[in-house]
Amino acid sequence: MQACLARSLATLALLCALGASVSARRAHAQDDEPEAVPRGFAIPQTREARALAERAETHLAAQRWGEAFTLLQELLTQHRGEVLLPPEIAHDRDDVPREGAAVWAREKLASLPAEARALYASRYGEEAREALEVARRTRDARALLDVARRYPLTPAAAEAWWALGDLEFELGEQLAAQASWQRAEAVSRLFPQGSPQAAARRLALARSLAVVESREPALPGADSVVWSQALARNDMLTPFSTGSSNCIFPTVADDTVLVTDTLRLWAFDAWSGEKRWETLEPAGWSQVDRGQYRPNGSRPLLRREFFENLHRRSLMVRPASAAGVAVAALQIPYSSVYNDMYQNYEITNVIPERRLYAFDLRSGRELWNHRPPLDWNGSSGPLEFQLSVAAPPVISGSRVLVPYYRMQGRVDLHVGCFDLYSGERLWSSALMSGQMALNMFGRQLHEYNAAPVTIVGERVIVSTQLGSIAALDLQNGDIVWHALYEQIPVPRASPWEIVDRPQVFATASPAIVGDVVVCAPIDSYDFFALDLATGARLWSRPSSALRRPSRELLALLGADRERVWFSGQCVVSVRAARGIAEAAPTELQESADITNLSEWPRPLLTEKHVLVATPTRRVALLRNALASEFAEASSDWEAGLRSGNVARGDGALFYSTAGALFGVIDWRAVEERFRLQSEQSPDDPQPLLDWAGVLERRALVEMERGRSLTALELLARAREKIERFATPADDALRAPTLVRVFSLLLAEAHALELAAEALRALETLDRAAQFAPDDAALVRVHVQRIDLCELLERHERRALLLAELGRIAADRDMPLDWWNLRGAERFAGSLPDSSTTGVLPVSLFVTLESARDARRRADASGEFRELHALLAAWGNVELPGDPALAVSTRIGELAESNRSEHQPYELRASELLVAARERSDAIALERVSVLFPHTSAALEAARLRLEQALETGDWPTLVRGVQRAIPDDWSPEVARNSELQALMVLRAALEELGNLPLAAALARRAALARPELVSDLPRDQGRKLADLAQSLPQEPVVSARPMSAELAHYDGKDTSAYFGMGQTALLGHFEAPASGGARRWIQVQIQRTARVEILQVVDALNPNVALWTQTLEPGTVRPTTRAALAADMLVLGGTTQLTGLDPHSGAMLWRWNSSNARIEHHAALGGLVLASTRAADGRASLVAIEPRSGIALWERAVPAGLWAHRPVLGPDHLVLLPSDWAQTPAVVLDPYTGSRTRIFRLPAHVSEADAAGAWIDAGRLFLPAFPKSSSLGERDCLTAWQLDSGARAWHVPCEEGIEFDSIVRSGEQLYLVHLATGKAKGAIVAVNPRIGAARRIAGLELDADDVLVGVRRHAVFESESGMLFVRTPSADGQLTDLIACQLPFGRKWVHRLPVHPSALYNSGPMPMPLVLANGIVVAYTETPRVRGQVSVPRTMCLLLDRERGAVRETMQLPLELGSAEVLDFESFGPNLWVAGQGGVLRRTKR
Amino acid sequence: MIQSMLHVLAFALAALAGGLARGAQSQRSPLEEAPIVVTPEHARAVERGLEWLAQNQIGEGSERGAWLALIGYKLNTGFRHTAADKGHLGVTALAGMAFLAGGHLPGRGKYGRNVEDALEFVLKSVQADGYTTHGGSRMYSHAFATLFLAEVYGQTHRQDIRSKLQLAVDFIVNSQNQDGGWRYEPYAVESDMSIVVCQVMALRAARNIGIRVPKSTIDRAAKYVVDSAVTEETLQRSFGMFNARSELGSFHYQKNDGSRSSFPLTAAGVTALYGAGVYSDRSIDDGISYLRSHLAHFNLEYGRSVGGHYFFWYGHYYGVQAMYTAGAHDWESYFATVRDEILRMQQDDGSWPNEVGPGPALGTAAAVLILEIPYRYLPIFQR
Repeated sequence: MQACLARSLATLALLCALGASVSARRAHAQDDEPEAVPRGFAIPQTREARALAERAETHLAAQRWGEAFTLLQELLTQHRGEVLLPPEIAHDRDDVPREGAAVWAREKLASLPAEARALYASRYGEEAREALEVARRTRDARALLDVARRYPLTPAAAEAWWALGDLEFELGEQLAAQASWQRAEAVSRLFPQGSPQAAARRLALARSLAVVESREPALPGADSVVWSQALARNDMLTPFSTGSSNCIFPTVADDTVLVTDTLRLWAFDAWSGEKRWETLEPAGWSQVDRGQYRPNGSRPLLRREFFENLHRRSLMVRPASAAGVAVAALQIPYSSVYNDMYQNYEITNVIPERRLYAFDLRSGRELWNHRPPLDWNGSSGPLEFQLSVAAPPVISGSRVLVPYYRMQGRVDLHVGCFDLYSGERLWSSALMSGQMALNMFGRQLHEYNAAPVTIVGERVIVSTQLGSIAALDLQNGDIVWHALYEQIPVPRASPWEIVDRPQVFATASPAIVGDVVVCAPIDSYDFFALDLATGARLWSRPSSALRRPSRELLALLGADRERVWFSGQCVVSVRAARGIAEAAPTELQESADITNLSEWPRPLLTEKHVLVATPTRRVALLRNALASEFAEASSDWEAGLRSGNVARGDGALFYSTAGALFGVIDWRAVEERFRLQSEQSPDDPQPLLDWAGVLERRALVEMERGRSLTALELLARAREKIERFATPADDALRAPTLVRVFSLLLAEAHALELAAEALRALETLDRAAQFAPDDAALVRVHVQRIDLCELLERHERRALLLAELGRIAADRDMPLDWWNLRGAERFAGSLPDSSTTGVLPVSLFVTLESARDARRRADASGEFRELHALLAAWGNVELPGDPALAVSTRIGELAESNRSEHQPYELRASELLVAARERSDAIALERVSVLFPHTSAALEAARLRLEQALETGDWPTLVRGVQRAIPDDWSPEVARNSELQALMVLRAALEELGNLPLAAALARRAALARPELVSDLPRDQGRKLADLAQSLPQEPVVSARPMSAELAHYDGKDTSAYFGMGQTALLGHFEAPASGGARRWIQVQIQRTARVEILQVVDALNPNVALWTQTLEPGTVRPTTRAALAADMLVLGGTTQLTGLDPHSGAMLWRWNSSNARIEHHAALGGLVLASTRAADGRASLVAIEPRSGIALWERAVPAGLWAHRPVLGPDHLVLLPSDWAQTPAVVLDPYTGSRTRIFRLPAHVSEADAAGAWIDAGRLFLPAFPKSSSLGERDCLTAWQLDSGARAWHVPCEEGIEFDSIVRSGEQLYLVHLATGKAKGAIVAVNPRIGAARRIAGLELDADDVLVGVRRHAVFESESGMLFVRTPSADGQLTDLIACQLPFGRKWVHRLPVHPSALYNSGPMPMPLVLANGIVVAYTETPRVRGQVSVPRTMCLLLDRERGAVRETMQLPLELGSAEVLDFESFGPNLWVAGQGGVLRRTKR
Repeated sequence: MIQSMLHVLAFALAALAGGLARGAQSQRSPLEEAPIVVTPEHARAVERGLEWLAQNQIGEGSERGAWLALIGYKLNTGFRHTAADKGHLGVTALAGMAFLAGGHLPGRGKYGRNVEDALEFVLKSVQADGYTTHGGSRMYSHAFATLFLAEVYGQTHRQDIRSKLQLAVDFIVNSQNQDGGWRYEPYAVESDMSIVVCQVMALRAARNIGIRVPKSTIDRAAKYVVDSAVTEETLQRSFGMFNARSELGSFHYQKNDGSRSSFPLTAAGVTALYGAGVYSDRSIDDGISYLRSHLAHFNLEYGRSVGGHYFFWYGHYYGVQAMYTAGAHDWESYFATVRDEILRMQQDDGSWPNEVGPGPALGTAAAVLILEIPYRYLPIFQR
């Protein structure tokens, strides 16, 4: 009771207090204001417009015309884009439609009595007349519209409408002209001096030209032709490369089917499916692919980032076409923000931006576009530059209409109307300002999509999907009405992820039936009907009336006077027996299920049917009886077809999915169409040519079905129809016929081949050759004939054809279709390095095939000739075959068994050698060795050249010589003596340079091949290779490992602190040579300023002693990179150069430039430095640099986009993994020679994270497949591949129910870390790297709250000590426990950090603890609350005892270092370094 | 228990009576009783600050009239930017205000050209729906731009400014959410105090010069602010889990018990209440008291030691307005402390630092504005 009384009194007190406040505020209130209603969006409704309207009404009522005119004119001009609440509505309400202010004002003027109208005309007539004259003179349609709009009751307005109508009529827009003339007539009637005769004449003309109601197009029946065209690209990521959402809708324009993936627009022949044209991607995408698109000068944005934030559930992509113009909204590579993360949460995202592009329908030539310039600043230029298209364009007459928007914090939606032919903006109306779901940082994370507009008569109906439906005047964009509906509220942001607004409807345009507008916007739970004239709500029905619980999105398909249709998992209709204009539809009717929940194919509602492309068949449902099918137009799919969005042509249906477009064409309709066309114009060959094309297309389909004879029949029929046009003298008629006849003959030959009629096929091709329209076609025939001759064993003919092919097309490449179908598989290895097209040159093909023929007929002499010709012209390319052989290798093979035939080459080589020797001509020596392999003279020449280079220290020549001697596929197993001798020369050179690790590696590899072989080099004094290998250092050649923890024993005692401000990065500890042959540990760090970089090297044991400093140019050391020590040279990696320094003196000894290609990675591998580079044009390569000289030992081009650019390096191997999305195999290289030792295919795509985590050990590649990091293939597993065979050694999948997070490597041991998911606890699984056996480590379960310290998700990291750290909230949740785990034994100790878990959480991740010989260095940043208030973050650094976890030292780090997540620790001996953003802290033993 | 309840009631009634009696004016002593004297050093600092601003204004191109700064957002206690080397709308509005508050009008006087250019840049940034944005700026900048336009319009009565100002004001009104607040992005369902205060002050400035602002908008905002105060009730309700007792009188970042509170948010809360026309409320008294007691600590944490954190500048920008309106002794001692701190922070080139935040243009504009409060040139800075 007391408590209750207390609450009441407290409430009273609060009310009294608020009363005081309110009374105080009242003094400032402006009393006559209506209350503002918070809505989450705003329509253009202002109090000023309302006040003007109210005052105008008052003046009109009092017949104060002049005052009223002033106010109405102000509404017409200053507030034309605004809306008004009806005057009788006192307070803002959502259930009342608003009327457009300009429309209202015009109606008021039109309803005036005659004397008032006359007054208006006299007051504004002159002004209007002047404006009209200017508009007429310039034939400016916009200016004419402006006159009619601004001065609606003047004779000038009537004349402006006449003139507009006339202009539209001239353009062939009869309906638009009629509409303008009708308006003109209406205005003219108000004035006695109007011109009714002129009006009558024009309108009579318009009526006589009225479009005749067309019949309903036929549906394809049982005998139909099906074609398909792939839209997806294998070589390039596109917006719809992933995901099965059906966002793409085809458009049919006469005989053309248009489809776009928002990057390109394709036009296909509707009847044949042949691609007519395809546009290029909008300008700028190639820059993105080259990594050159850097908004705000920061990191380059990747192509995939532009496609990640499509909102597939609301996106519709559809081109439009009319009057020979195709319009599409294409995505441009522009973004004002990056994908930005905070911890694992997205802050901002790249949102797609689209602009309109128009193309000539016939040729695909671009007509206009609204793309801003490439260097656009994001805010300048006309509106169409600044706004992104929100929905597919719609064409009405010569106008293109499209909703477009600006997303700057909110969605600012406009509707634009553009001239179809020029793209010029006719009008643009701002409709709405609204919002979408936001993340916890208050940002939109995906694009906004509106529905395409619906045009009915002169109204444009817009479903904004932001809480309103609006009707605009098609002529001038004035808002006619704006109707609000109850919007599904935007959910509050979740702290962890964006919560999307619930969605029950798919994006669909409003349906218009008579005077009723039926709408189902995506931001509404209800579908409803509005009055077309006023926007008044007629009825509203909840979506629940249509949906079963399992169904998801419902798409409004259309409506008639009684029914409204939707599609979802099935097709449904709701009916109102009295008509939907009278009552809400309630009678529900359903079809059987048509699809599953992952695909949402959009059916098409026609006059009689609902056409559906289900996953298994195409169905034509009778629209008023959804349970019944129209059997004639329903059919099971051909193999390969699948559900999609439907469009219709006459006798044709088209279906598009994300990856393909399908056409189903009624065969009778096709034939009938062409028959009629050819009958109508018997002298025009084009219809018959088209017909022949379709017959050919059908024949190809029949061939694919295995019905070659039917195909032959069709082809013969086709040829018969057109052959008579092949003879006329008129080239214009003849040329296209010849092309078609040629094509038909080629197809016939192919059909005959399939029918095993090779001889007839050859004869047909012989005939085709006579019709070849150009050399390219002739080449195509020749190639096919060459293949057939081989089949028919007509070798002489084949040789002749080859010779002829070489003669007519020496400078061409082989036909692309042949290359893709047959060539690439056989000849890919034969491509010369100089090939720029990636297709085999004809002359190379001819020589390769001639060599093969010679080999087949055992003509050693001929084969020698062809092989040497290959060498001279194309270098040491690969001969196709199994196994593929390099030309020089084959010469070697051949020479062994055909001494006499080889003798001429021996002699020739000897002659050349003698001459070269006499002249001491180094180049001639090289030529002998290259052009005459396996001759004694060549070996001698190579040896002389190498020795010459070795003696003179001409390392580049020496390296080149060795490269030449070593084939691309070299390996010890197939090594020849000469190759091994060449390697010995290189080895000797390396020894001389002091690169003993690499010299030893080469010697070991050579000894592996022939241990007993004696080195030719005089300096080797006749020693065997095995002895030479033995004499060199025996350390394994491995990549640099982290410095041993046992060398670091910082204990926090007796130290002095040094703090250096500035941007400093630690580049590593290295055991480097010192004076007198001694070695010492050095610490390398770099300090950056704006203009210079200073490299500092100190004694790692005594960091107070600076050994040397070196001033570098900016860019010499790339940020985030570490230095490498290779062959006792300190190698620094810059953006486009590598620099070698003497670690003892700091002298800069060499600099290797990458010719402006960006060096993306570099690493040391024994006595080598391997760098991967990427040039501005996207070309990438791998380069091996000898670190003592800076000379490139070898270089390999890596085709762009096909392989992950960072190779996996390991002892004796280097592996290129396929890039994500590519289907290329993994390639294994020998790092010392660059030769390719193995190729093998992986069963899954390799994501960036997978490739970055892969490593090599003991001759195996260990490749993780982290979850969700790629979409294809098996995920959540670790696989070991045997690099010598390409076989899978073992495969460890992740355990069910837990998430594969990361991998810890510790010496020989391997551990998979699995995180807890749901109820399942996480675990650490030890994997035996030899056999792949996996076992959970007992006692090391991970709870949901446990976080691995310093470990990135989906990464592999090394822990030399085998220690792993986990943080977790303490039992009472107030502090944080740091748990040290010693793998593989389990938990070692727990240390309680004095920090609340949430304080850590908010401050970013902890860095990886540093493990020392006797301690652990841990750091964290917390944001403490001082007296409850959030204070400045502070970063603490603790030294813990390694065995027990007890604190040995606590340090608060300087603020300048930044938060813990950016810290970098190093320790050596008794010293500790902590580098951060703004400086470096060093604690040094006194 | 009953006694304590009666005490509460008595207080409430007294507050009501006091409020009625005072009307729009505080009972505190007017400024004139204890005036702040603008020392030559103080005046010189302002002049050097304005000089620096004038020298660093963009003189040509599409961003003519603006000041370069990092456009970005608060992330915990840090600042992350999305665009660099861009004209910053919010900073430009504040810098423009700094000139106005120093007595410089568009097109007139020593810095007339600078104000005129800043004005043109701001006007250009007003979009068709009223949202005032440039280069990804958000509701903060919109509010400062609106405030600037209101102050310029009040002094020039230019009709082109009025129409854009009305659009911008309507945008604030329309984008108020059900809570009565605003967030970084318009129409968001969440709110926070730092955004609310600048919208309220923009609306207040607009009302001051006769632009229509619905009373319901102001009332809802005032309620939001009052409900954001850390009170005995909120402390009891949350069992002290989120705020220590020392936070009594402060204001939350967001209107819930778990949201943090701080000095700048409290300054914002009190100023917002004054801006909304609430001059007498317990939350104001408690807020003033909180500001007084936390001033030294706040300066220490966010002032010189961290190079003028943006918390420091916006904390004092609102702090001095709150104290100025509160008047008398509160104002005098507060301002003297803040002035000394700010004068010590001025750089050799005349600018003020803002290491964490958009940069020195913000620091300088805010510092100059703070120092100009005693000049009383701008209506929004008058009682």
